[in-house]
Amino acid sequence: MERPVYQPIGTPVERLDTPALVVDLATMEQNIEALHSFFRSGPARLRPHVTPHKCPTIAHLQLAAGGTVGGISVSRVGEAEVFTSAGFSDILVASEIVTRPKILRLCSLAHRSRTTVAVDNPRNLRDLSEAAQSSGVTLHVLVDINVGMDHCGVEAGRPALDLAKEATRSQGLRFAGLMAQLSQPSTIEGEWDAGKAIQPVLDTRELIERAGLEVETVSVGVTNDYEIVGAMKGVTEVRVGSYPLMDYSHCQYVGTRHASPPRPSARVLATVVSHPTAASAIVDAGHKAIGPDLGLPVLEGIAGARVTRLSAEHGILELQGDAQHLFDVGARVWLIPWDLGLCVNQYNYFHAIRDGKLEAVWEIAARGRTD
Amino acid sequence: MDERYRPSPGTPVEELDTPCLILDMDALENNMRVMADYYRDRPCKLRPHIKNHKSPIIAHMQIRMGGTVGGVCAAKVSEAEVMVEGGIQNVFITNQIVTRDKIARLCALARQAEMIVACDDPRNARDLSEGAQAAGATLGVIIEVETGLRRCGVQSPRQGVELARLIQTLPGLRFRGVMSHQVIGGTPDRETRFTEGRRMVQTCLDARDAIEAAGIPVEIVSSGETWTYDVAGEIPGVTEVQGGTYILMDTSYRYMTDFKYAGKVLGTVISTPRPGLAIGDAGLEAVGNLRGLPTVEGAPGVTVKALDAQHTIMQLEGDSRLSIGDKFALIPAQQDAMVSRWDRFIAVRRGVVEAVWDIPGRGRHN
Repeated sequence: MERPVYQPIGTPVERLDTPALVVDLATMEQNIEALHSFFRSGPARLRPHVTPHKCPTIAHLQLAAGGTVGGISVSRVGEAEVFTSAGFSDILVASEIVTRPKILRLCSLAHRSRTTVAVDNPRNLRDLSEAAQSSGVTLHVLVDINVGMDHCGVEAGRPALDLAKEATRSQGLRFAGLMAQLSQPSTIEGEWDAGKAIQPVLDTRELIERAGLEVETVSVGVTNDYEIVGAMKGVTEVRVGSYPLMDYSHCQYVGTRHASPPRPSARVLATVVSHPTAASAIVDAGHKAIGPDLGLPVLEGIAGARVTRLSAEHGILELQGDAQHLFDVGARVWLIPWDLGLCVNQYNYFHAIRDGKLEAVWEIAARGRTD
Repeated sequence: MDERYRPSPGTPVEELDTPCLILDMDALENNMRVMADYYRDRPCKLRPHIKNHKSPIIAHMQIRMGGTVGGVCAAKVSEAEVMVEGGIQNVFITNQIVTRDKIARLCALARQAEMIVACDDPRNARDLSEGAQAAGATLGVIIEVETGLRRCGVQSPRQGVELARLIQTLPGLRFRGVMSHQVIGGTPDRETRFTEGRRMVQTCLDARDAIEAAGIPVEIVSSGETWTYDVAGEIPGVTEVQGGTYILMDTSYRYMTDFKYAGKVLGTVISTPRPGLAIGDAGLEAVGNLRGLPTVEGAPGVTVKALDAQHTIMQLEGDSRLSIGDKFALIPAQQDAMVSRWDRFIAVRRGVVEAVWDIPGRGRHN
């Protein structure tokens, strides 16, 4: 795993060894406050999706900021184990869990915390029910509704109702409601109506309630449209993941719609290791230190400098004009990841700074827990 | 994967929980054998690059198989630390190491093992010399030559000569030679590989010639990689080749047909929302999409259409069927990027777990 070179608390950030994943606490706190203040006034509550940062310390700060359901959501059983151990008592695994070893681990967690899981298939429902009964626990299930993307989820309407009925009948399970994941449009252009996309879920809620079942929870995962979805009657909780740390792709989208948009608080600190020509500089952060699967990182605030490609251990910068004089060998460079989750996935620690000085080193405890 | 869920040797592959990173031992050994057979009786030798597997146990296997210089390449000081701690005695860091802290760590390693580092800048050479002197160590230095990659390296033979002269005069440093790294796009045929490979390596040899003409002996010419292993290996004057990808392989190197796919991610189908579509549990966090989407092994009718952070979105054609709970194996387009997401390899031979190996170099970016 990552083994940072020890630096005392208070060390100026420029003295940190590189590449390092650094989070600016003041910016992160502003980002958290902005989103949580929206949800503090209801009616829907926030369920922070902690998979992008995988860090219990940050997740505790999120719950402390109010406006939440008091619980979190994750994508993996392995992540649920880490966060249960870190003291979280209400965890939604927002994905289908189908293998027997994982289902049994889920039941083990349900002994100690309220554990909820997504379901979209009757056979899976039976497997969950059997395991919950033999373990002597109750698993909460949310029927996962597909809202028009190539992804998990049962169709809205009748198929969802049938699954809800079966969940209600299943021993060891408690039908807790519905969930859906809204996809993020890949660009900000074009018609995108989050409200319209989520309407089939709300219609299904009515259908199920008319059939005499209680729908306690309607949980919607969004990347950016939390205000629209959070204001919709019938949505009880909104899962948002990116906001504490942000990244370049989310800033592009959200930035167009807010007066004071959230800013990226997590960045990678890198060092120039070679300046072979006037027009190029090479830094020590390549794709293994950035996770650029969805897009290249961005060098912000330096006109004339941009990242043009990443090899495994090198970032290649193209320099024009005055920027050609700013990248001597040894100079520090800040890179904003395009997608934060994939960047965090490459590290074991956040270096938390305030006013340019190291304040804490936080473990990314659920990193690698894709199991 | 958590320590608690480490599978026992003898476990059938079908019983592994997913996603997990699999090492196919038959393929791995085939790949090591191809290299060993090629280099064993040649003057040029292989120096395996460990930046992809990051595991001393595999490095030892590579060296034991034969045909190598007896040492490895690493990309980072922290990877070299992992190798030296793991018992490898000779490490060449094929990158520039420029910060004071890292130079100090490099020189500390040079007290324990033979260390060589790449250099392309006079000020960096002076910093390395100061660090080596302070540690009472000797660092081998190899000048990196730019041969078309547009990355690090001296830009001309003349620059190479000036830097070699300087390195020769600096205490604590020992000038060892020159290196270059080359890439080629697409899926070149054999003839293109040889033509392009020879042309690029020649630029490195030109720098060597100029340095030797200035009266400075050049002991090492390290030039070549998996795609040029049989090109550079035959060019007189090239003394060692840096091969990394060959051991695990990936689909971006599918034209290198001597090597077999040894590194894969095993996944499970978790949802079949409609006919023709299956969702698996291995996404970007498990396999990555650099240089392209992964390929589903042994299933021509199944295509990976997309990956999100945690999911494989697979399209099924013709008679292909996948049910919830079915396992599938993904071959990456870029093995380096896949391994860097994992903490353990599960070594499998003919469908049965043989060993579970930690990847101690994962996350060692610094």
